[in-house]
Amino acid sequence: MSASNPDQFENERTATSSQTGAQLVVKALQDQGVDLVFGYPGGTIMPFYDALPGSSLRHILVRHEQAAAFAADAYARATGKAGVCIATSGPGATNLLTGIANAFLDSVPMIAITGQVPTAVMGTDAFQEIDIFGMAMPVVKHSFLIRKAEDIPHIIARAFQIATSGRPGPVLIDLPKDIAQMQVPSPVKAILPPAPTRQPAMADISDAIELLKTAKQPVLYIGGGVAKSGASKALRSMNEIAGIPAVATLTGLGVLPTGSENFFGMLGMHGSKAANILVQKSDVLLVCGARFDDRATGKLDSFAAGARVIHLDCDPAEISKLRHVDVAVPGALKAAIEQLKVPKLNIEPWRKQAKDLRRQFAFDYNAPGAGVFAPAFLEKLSRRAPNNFVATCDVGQHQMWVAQHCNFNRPEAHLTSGGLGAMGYGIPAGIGAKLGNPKDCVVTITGDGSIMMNIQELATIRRYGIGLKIVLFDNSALGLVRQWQELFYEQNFSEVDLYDNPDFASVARAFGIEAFTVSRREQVDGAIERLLKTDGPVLAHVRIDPRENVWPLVPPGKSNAEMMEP
Amino acid sequence: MQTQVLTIEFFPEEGAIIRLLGLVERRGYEVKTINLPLASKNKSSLDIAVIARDAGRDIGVLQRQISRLIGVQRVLTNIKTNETEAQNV
Repeated sequence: MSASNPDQFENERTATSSQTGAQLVVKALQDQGVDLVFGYPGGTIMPFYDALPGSSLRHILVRHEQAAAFAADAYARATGKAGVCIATSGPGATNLLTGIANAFLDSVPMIAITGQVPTAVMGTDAFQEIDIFGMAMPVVKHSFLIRKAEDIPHIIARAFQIATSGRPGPVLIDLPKDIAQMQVPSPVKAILPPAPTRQPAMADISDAIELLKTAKQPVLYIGGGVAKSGASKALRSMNEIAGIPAVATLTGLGVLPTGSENFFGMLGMHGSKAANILVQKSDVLLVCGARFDDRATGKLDSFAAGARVIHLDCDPAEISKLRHVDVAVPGALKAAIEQLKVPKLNIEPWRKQAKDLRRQFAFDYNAPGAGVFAPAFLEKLSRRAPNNFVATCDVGQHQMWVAQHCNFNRPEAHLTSGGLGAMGYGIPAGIGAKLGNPKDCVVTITGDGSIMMNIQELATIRRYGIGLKIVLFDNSALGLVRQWQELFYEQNFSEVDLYDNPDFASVARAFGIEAFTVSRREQVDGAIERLLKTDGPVLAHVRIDPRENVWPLVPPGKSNAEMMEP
Repeated sequence: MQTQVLTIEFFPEEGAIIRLLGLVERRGYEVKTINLPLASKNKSSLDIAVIARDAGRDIGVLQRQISRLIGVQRVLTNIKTNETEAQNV
């Protein structure tokens, strides 16, 4: 195998026995340490499903391929291992795409295996033929189309290596049916050397330290890359000494515990006002594993306009992509942070200012009325939940309330669709997270819009007895869209009214899942207690006021300094 | 806007060319001309002349985005100092 061309290889094989290509796939997955896969069978992937029984792979049969991809994504986020999802060609493969894109935008290691029509009819518009290899290119880290069965062990080993190394991401493997059925001599286990990791340059790190020493108002800006690179502990250690006020992106939450002295909340569109003010006033911004996403920065040219920027990231392509960087530290993030020996900075006036801002703009949970106030519910839920609490979110107002109001002690406790913002993520993600770490207290927080995008997965929960807890905030509306129409489209409420929702508790019970409904504030304590004490799956249907909005808010196109409040 | 030429050396596997061209288009550049000389078994070279579709696009960022593709070995631009070895991440 060429070191410079790792995909050019010679197959090693023994001639002692033969296996089908599909059997090789199963064996290669086992060789990679896979024990759990999510999938849905169909025509061209049938050879794989024929090879599956009797193997050590546990297959979770979802009810829609999109859920397989979302579950694999969350399994990966929860365990740190690559998640695996499987589907047939054509619609099965295209149904995976949203989940693959989700993993791509949040840098999640995933292996997606799709069946394909036999090689002889590829390119002829055969039944259920879709060029998923081509369609997936914009949303994968890499992809393979298997042309020779004997290549399978190496390709699968290489796919895992690519998916999990450097900046993680999804890898697609397209498997034509004839290749899966072909008998070939059994190759030996493919062994691949670890992927080379670019190490940070000491000169860059020294420059970063020197710049930080000059700072009077530094801010530490934590992104999702910190947890993905296993650098959370190193970052906590570094900042315990340095004492830099810290903020986090949506996917960076939990790296510093919510209640820790140096943490000031999420920045950006629905961030805390203290976090946004601090970033805007900063003179040095230490950015770790973040990519200046527009939801975090708001109007880019006014974002932290007076700050010099230090950017640590494993992906050199993110350096100065959107914001000019003064000191770039490309390379392995964990190593970079471990070597970033920042002394205690002499910034007490700035730290005091930060704490004053946090106190001044603390969230207020005393809402008027007798109805359930979702932020207060969530704050109370995360406070009462055990230390192994994990929230998997859908997308919408509830997602932002979770980010704002739940307490997270570790980044793996908050699984959310960040870059893609995919409604329908929550329940499959809960399945993936719970199966990945069965002892965790996994709670899916969803809305009445989002739950309907993958509600069929209640059947998967029931089938496998997955002890997932679901909180469904029901405002009979597409709440976040409704909020924008109220604020930015002159209250022209268009296609956001979900007045005719089903009775969700009855729906859950029809799937065989315990469920109950609450709508008044005095029911909240009992609802949380019941939710946390129930061993099996349970759904709490929580009715809330549709007029409730997410605050504060940076209007689209505005600076983070221009936050709207109620 | 200025035309810039990228020379990309890459491993010629299935899908490699469409992967490269697709990335260039998606990242906000118009492909004006391409030249693909005869490839060896292990190395291909693709010359692409591109124009940014709007102001503010940094060819160096595109260069690094191409460099991180699996199978890309080297990316050069017509600006001599901007040669990067592939950094697959």
